[in-house]
Amino acid sequence: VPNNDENTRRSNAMNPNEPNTQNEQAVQTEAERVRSTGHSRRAFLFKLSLLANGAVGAVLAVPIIGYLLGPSIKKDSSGNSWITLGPLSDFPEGETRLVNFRNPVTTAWDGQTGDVPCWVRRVSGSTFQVFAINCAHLGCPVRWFAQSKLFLCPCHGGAYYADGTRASGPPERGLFEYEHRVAGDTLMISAGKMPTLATNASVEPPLTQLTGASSAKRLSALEQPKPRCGSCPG
Amino acid sequence: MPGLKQKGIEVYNWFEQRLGLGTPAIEAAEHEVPENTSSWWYVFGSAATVLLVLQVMTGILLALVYTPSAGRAWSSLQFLDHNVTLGWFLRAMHGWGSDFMIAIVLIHMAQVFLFGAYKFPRELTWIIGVFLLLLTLGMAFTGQVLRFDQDSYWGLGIGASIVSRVPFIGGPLVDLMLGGPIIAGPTLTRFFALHVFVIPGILLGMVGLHLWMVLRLGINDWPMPGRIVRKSTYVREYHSPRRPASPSCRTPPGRMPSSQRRSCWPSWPALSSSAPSVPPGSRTRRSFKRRPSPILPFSGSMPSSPTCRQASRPRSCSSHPSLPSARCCFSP
Repeated sequence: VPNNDENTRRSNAMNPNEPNTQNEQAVQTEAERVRSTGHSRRAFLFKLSLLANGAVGAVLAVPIIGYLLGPSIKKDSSGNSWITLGPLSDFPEGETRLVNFRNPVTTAWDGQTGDVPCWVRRVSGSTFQVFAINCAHLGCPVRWFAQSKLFLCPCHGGAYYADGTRASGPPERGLFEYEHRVAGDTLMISAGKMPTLATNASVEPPLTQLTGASSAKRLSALEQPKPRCGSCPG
Repeated sequence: MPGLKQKGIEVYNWFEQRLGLGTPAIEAAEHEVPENTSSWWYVFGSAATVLLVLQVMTGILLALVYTPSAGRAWSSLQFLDHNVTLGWFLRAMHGWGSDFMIAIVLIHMAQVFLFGAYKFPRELTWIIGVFLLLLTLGMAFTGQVLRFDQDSYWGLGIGASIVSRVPFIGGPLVDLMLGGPIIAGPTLTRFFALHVFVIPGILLGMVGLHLWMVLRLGINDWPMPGRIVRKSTYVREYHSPRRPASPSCRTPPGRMPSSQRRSCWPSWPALSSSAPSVPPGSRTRRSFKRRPSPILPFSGSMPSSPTCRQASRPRSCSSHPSLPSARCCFSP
């Protein structure tokens, strides 16, 4: 049926001089032409209502999308804050210890998940290293093995040396480190956000794969840790 | 007793006159399929659906007790296990059901692949099925997060570490996933919303599309060595009658609405007019039988389908349940 209309319309357009004997038919054809090209009041109002509905939808979408994206566009969520890990006397020199801290950003219903662990290594005196618990590969909790002087990841066998540098396994870099400072008699770290490769919470440069002779040299260097300061024994 | 039955039929008809859902549902349930498809190999889609319904029901029951709060989630499950009557059993059903559902969905996928059932005209059924697999895996991941034990916590850490590797927007994506700077309360609530509202909603909608296409396109034929299913001859072989309808195959005028008198494949006329078809001998095995339908409470009282339900009925009648008699009785 639409094809017939189309043909009628086209033939009329091709022969504009052809006399229309029946006025009714001409009116009807005109109405169909208007309808088929979409220039009728109905079509206009339909498009207008589509526009109005679209505008309402857009206005409603702004708060909805803003709410959804809130956690990722919030500015203060990207900033860490300084918190106290404890008195320096808690950390004997030459040892690496597990410390729990309450995350500076929590909700009242976080429970134990608001507590975050980290590894504190006191090299000597006021020289510290504070490592995130999360393996740089997939975030699993690494554990310090004092006898072998290695951090080992239970998930996929990632291994790190005592100074957090990558020793083996899938991680492409060393352990994430928290910024730290010694304030009076306490150790403070800058924390608040789960360290991932995206946030790059480490101050260490990315490490390269150990190869050949350099790895042997590195291992021998680890056997005798080089002192970080002139007077400390290391 | 007959009075009661009559009353029941009247009630059914009252609803049916207004809803109009019963007749199409019955037609869909009792539509004919090739006899050689009455095999256990075809059961896994139904099995996955049964498991999905089971998961929805047990999930709703668990939600009566479970508390989606980071500080309370684990202890609410301890309460469920030890203080709620049969709570441990329902939790186990939900947990094992999820394992079984993934297994069954994977077996279903393997069967569809091996039978070639993903080919024309069921490509979209396969594509949606792939999304259903992903959604099922998403349900499994978000579901194990809700326990909020050590596995959940470090599993989330793995998820965050994977997401953090996304170039450029990894950081914001991690924040979006965790709902905050660390894995904590907001993480659990958003995974709860995903597990209970978002993914099930999408999943059920896509299962509806998946089932609709199974009914619309018909079940795939049993694969036979040497019988090639070609796109160019598919419509002619599977969706048009090979022989004229028998004289008994007549529907009384007025029984069928004119809206039903249309072809199963109105938009693909070009597909049915090329390439030779399968030799006649190869299709002799494909006879039809009627599967008993389990959901026919009042089949005796319903307007029965025309008398063309016979073994000699052309195969097109089986392929389109919503038009069970249109093709066999009215097509040329």
